[in-house]
Amino acid sequence: MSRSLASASLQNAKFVTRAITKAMFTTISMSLLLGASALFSLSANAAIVDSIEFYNTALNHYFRTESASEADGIDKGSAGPNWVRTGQNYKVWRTAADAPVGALPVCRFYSQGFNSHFFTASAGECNLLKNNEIRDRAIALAAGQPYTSWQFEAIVSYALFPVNGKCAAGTQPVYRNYAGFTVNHRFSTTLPIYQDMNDQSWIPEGANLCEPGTSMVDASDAYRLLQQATFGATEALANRIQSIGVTAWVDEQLAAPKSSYPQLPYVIYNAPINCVSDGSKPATDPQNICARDNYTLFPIQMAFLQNALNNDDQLRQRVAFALSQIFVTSGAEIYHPYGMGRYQQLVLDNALGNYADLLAAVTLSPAMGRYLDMANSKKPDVVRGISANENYGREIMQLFSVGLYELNLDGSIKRDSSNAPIATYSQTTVENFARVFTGWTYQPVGGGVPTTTNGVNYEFPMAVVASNHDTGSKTLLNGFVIPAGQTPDKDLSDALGNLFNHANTAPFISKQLIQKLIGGDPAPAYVARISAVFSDNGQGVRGDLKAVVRAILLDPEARGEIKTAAGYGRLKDPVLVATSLIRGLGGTADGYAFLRGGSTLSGLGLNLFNSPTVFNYYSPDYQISNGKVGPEFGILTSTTSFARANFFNTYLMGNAIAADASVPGAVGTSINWTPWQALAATPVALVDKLSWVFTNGALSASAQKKIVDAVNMVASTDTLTRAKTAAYLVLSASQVQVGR
Amino acid sequence: MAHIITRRRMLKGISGAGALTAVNALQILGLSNALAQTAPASDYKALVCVFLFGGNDANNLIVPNDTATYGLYSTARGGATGIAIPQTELISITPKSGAAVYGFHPQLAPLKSVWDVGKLAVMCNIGTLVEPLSKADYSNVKKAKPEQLFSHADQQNQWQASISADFSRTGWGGRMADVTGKLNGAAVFPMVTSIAGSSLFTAGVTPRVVAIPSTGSFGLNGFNNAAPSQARLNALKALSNLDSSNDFVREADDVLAQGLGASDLLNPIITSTNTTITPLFINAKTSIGNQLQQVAKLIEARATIGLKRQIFFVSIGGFDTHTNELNTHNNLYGQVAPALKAFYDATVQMGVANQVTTFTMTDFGRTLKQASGGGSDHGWGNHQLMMGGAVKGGDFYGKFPNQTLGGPDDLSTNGRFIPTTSVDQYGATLAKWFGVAASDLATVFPNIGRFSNADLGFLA
Repeated sequence: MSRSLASASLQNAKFVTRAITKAMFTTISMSLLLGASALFSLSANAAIVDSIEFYNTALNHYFRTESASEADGIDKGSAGPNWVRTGQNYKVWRTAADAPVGALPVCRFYSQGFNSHFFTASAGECNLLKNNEIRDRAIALAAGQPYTSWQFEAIVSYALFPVNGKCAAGTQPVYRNYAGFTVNHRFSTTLPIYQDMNDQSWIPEGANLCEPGTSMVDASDAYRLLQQATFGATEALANRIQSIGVTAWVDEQLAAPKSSYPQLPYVIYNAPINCVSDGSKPATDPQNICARDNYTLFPIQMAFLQNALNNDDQLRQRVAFALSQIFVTSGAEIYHPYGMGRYQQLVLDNALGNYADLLAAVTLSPAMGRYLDMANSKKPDVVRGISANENYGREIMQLFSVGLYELNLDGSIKRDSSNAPIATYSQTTVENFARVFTGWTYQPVGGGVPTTTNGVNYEFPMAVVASNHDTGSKTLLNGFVIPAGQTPDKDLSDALGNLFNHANTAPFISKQLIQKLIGGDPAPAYVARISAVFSDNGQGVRGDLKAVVRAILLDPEARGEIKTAAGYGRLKDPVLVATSLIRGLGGTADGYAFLRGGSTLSGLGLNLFNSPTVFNYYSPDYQISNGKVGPEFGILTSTTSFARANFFNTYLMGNAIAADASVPGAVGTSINWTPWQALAATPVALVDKLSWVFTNGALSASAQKKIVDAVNMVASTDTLTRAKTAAYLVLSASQVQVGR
Repeated sequence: MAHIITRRRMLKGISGAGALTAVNALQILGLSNALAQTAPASDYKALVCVFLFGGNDANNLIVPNDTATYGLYSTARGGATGIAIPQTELISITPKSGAAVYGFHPQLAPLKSVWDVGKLAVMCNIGTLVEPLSKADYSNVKKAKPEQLFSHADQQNQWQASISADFSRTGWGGRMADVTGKLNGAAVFPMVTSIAGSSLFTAGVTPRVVAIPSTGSFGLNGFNNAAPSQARLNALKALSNLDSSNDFVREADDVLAQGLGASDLLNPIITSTNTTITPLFINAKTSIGNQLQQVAKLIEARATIGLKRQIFFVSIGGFDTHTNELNTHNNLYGQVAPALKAFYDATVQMGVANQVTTFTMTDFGRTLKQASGGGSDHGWGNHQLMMGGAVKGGDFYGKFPNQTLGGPDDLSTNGRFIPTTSVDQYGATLAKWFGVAASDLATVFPNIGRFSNADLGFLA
């Protein structure tokens, strides 16, 4: 623990300096190859990162770096041969802002003579070596000799000192061993290593640094979590995750106050003539505004984007958006915003509730009733030859609950003795469910009990006209029989219970939620773990979506356990592309431009709340060319791939977009480039910081270099274009568009 | 279909190095075609697939028009208060073969003249099949039937794959391109073009598809000749060519590279205002009209593009008419018919009518019996349209289904017709005309051997 020991080892090192022979200069110098830029980038990064340890088998030297790109370079031989990773990494704070109050800078020194590095957080040691460097450089210069002893390189991280020999709660001690015979220190956080090095005659110098403990979240995982659980990472949220930990942050999100949609008043189904869009008049004409605000989804799409951009309940909104892509209704038919707003509110309200409540609410929602034709479906009319409408009866099974094939808990398809997949239901089952869903209609305008079938009214849940209900018995899944003569409500709750309790529902819904938050091709074991939580949240409750979402995010697979696997990750969907751009760079947007500007979500292949069919914008089973499942690739074509790049061109290379005068409270679309311009003098730092905010530090060193080179082609005085160029290229990179 | 080789990996195999630009990549693909091929075709031919998403109810597209059969049809559909088209509104047509008379839906009026000149034909009661199937066979568990009948997603895929007994990763359009790519010589532009996004139909073992927009430009915006702008453009291209160990990153890169490899050639063509075919689409300013106009523009530029064989995919959705079918059909047929007519006229004007064959596909047919709410539910066998100078038109092919509910063609009592012709036969007929060699037919249509006739005779 004594700092005098550390100084002693330095004195030893200094002593050895005098014995250097010229032959030692032939060893490859690490620092000269790495250059100053790699070190500078450290200060631009956020929060807690790995200190990665290397060992040189020929030199018998240890080395650490906090820069992932420097580590990449060493892997590729930039520091000469024989460097291997030891796997003995620990966490460090990269900047003073990331670290607790009182943390001290860690100085990194290099000696060409020893070809060795030294790290210290002691201001005394740091200053001593700096002063020695000044003195000895002058001596060497006067003698016409090269200076080969300790030279200061950079502040590479921050650390706390132990107080009374102990590291503060949440931090861990870093032990130091020294070997005079090779002039090298080893830093480690485990006592077995410390002891082992001692056994190899590396002098134990005690624990003289405290770094963040293993329970603390590294920056990479903080940003990964934000890709999975929000509409775009921000540095502030990453810091929040690192300061309170993943579990606490997820729980904080699960408890956040709920966003809402405007509850617009009822409007008659067919637009009055003065509220019909008229292309011969300007967009700002009151008639066109009336049409836009009452007979298109525009107000609800705007509300969705503004909530996503600004509100704190990011996770609830992400889950609701995922659920809205399972329980699909579409503006293709539900184009009255007062209807879609109520439907999306229902999804938001139930997103972290129980799946059974969500299924019931969706089933009786007038928007779904209209979209899948349960509304006004009557019992079979034998005389006139009319069947009960099968649409909802079929799709509630195929898409909202059990799916086409019997499933194992891990989401894989069950097969019979001849290896054929086993269908979950038959056409006869569909016809029986269709009869369950008869008799329901819209409430009359103003609300109340219907006495006959009513026209469309999205204001209230559907209600039943008992005389239109088929009271015959129905045979549902697993042979469950609804007896004849029950009430319509009892039939409905029995049928929904039949679906809710079916063994398929847990894997069918759990897997799709994983796919929409984490990645399209989850390991079967991951699906099984989440299905188990769906089946029982630990307190005997089935269908607890809050528990399911929590388990999805806290699972090791979500937290990066297989982050380097070829099939890990998810192509960011168009909404996430748009919202993360604004949130990540920092700026202001009201959503208007994304809906009606020159570059829209629609152009990216996702017309918000306007799925082409109930099968969503893309299939959960969509396979990329090598067979991996990547649902979002269903809407990535050469056309929409260009549209993504051109979207970035519009919002990044272009100027701010003014607020549209026809929208009350509009703020336009603009990015605050000032903090990014401040980094423009050092493109390495600029690109590095962008890569953190828009990936989890996953942009490769070679990709960063190509971007840096392009940024360097812009005059250094034009900081705005530098910042824009860097942002355009970082966001356009496929490595960034695939969250992992 | 176990050996799907991504272009990137194939290129790595060819070149042994990673420093290819996207454009080079496609050129090398073209060259690799050239090395493997025999002589390119001397003539030009194109197939145009028009997919009607949602399951078009062709019971109301083609209606029996003799009094007795119309009566059966009308009764099954609930008559005047149901979803039957009034007989007086039908456009009377008399197929060259047989004695029966029929009627087109009134919104098909623009296509009547194409029928009259013998360039439009009807394929009756066609659907997905694993093997020929009678009504008695349907309830025989030993007879193979398509997976997941009546499911949109599955039946769309089976129509596009021409494989109904299993999952498929490729479609018959893409597989046709696989075996006929050699007819294109060294031409580099992908021979399959979708103007309707990605689809299984266009997916081959070797990716040869590019998706272009129905309107607007096809390329990157915002670059100029200044050095910093060019540096940014080059960096973007270089970023899309960095190999990655992550499959999704690589796939996204490949998709962009496909576009980059085609946009310099295509963008001037599809954004050109110097085209003589645009005025023909004056009555077809709809999505489906725009898509077919893009196809016409590309065919017009066939000499520039240099391909001898092309496959196009266009689509229109909204056909899932569980309710409100009559109004929906008026709207949708009112879009489809003028677009098809304009496209046919364009091929005539360009002098390629005999070299371009257009055909429809859809998820499935629908119940002849009416469903509550003025619509119809998911069915099976259905009618399709074939159009073009090579079509032996003015005629019906296949067997029109008996219109009696619970009758000999109805698998139960709701008017779900058991198809009497398979998708495989339909595709094989089109493929033979297109130039697929007899020896390649089973590669494109693995189940064609189960059906007695691989050429339905509707193409000259």
